[in-house]
Amino acid sequence: MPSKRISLVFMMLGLAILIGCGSTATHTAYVTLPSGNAVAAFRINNTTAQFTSIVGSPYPSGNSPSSIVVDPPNHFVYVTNQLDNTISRFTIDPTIGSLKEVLPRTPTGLTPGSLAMDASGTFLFALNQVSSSVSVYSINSTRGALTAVTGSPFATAANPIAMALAPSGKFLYVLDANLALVFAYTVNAGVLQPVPGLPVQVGNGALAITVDPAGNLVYVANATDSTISVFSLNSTTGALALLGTFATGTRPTSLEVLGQFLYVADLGASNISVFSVAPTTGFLTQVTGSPFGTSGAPLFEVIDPNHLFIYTGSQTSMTISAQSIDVTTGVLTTTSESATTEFAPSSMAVTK
Amino acid sequence: MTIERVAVPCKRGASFIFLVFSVVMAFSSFSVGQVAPRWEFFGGYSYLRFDSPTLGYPDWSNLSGFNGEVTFNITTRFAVTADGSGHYGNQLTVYNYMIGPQYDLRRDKSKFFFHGLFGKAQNTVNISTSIKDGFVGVGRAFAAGGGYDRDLTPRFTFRVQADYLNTNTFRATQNDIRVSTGVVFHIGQIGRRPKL
Repeated sequence: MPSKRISLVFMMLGLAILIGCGSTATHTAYVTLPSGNAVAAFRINNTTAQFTSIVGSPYPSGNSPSSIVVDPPNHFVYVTNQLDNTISRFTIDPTIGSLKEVLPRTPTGLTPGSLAMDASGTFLFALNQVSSSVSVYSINSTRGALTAVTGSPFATAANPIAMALAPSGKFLYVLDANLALVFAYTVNAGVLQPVPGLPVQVGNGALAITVDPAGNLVYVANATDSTISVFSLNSTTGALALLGTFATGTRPTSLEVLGQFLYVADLGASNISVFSVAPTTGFLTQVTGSPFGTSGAPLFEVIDPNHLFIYTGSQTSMTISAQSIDVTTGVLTTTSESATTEFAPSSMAVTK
Repeated sequence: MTIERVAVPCKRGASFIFLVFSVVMAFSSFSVGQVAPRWEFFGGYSYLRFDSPTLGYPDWSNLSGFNGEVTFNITTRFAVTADGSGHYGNQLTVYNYMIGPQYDLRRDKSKFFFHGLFGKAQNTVNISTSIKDGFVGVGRAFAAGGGYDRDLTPRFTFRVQADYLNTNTFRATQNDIRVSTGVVFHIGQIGRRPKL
């Protein structure tokens, strides 16, 4: 019977559609929750930025996790525990992306507040805010275990607040908000040496520092002044030279660079200011439409590895939100994608 | 923790309803058999395409396991079915226990059937964290589907069936497809054969 044959064809088509549905590329994100003493984990759709909490999340860490990094092969996650002066090391389940802490924790100086890792995943740097030093560890490539390098911890000026490692891994810049100075160090096999010359002056209440991916410019967010200081970076000596200071939104707290654009999270204004950067002069110009509003006051921001979205974390709304990026114009567009965290988030890292 | 999930890209549920509709249209000319067993016991292999992205996995999971059913035929057309299945993967264990009505379209040596089932789902994710090994999510389960039986002997029947399975565990909704095949054992009889 023709109708029966036709229906049989439709049946096979239906079965094929049901079983043959394609998969979607994703990456994972890890978010520190200081008041929960835990790390939350999400899977994020590469195309839509949809967030899905991973089973078992959040995963327990030490006391008050503040900063987080993922190693380049996406095998390990490292978290500073500010109140017990340690670093937690987690293995990442290769199938689902869940975390399991590997004990014992690695001791640091007092109040480790910031982490940085070189591009090859060879060294891990921890900024100790109260003991005023930088702890440097070599990373075992197989087990991820940390071993303090000779001479670590390396003394800094009193009470450093943030640091940034040059993409080359050759220079480390430490920001001291009380002194409103940036100190530069050379990095040689993990050993820090001060760069000859005076530290450079920044604005008041500086909270964040970053080096652009090309390694040519250094940016500092001056929260009290609501400005951005832009410096050129001498790739041979590591010395910084001020190019200019530019106004941004109220209380900038975080900086991200993508191509020729600088993204500044303005905590006090609940928005992101986006600047195009003149390659030679470092001159900042706000792009059309900037600043772009965020849902909740943004404390930190992370650009996704595919350069399609920028994620902002808000402690007031306890959310991680996604905005899509136009890489040509720098313009941000709000999406409906977000994730709610059980506790206020403080930092975020994403896998490649 | 709030999970926001958009619709499944391949519209799995709509495809399944289309599939079942096609089956009904193809075989709506079946006359109703006037004899049926009182009890039917089904057991066999089952495949589950599990919606594991809702749990944080990057992709859907293909799980294998078993499916068993006990059916009590009230009349030659209407029955009640109790269904249980277990499916297993590398990190996943999925159990479903459901019960519901079934409608049969019978011929002399075969039948098509359609059921709607309701019950409980229990999904276990076998991952290890620093404080816990294994996470279990329990929630409601709903299935809609049907299948085809073909008599092998007076007591035994070959069956193939497919179900759309909707469960709610780990504060998320899973949309799964289950395909099972196996053997049915009959006992008892209801109805009567027409006099010649």
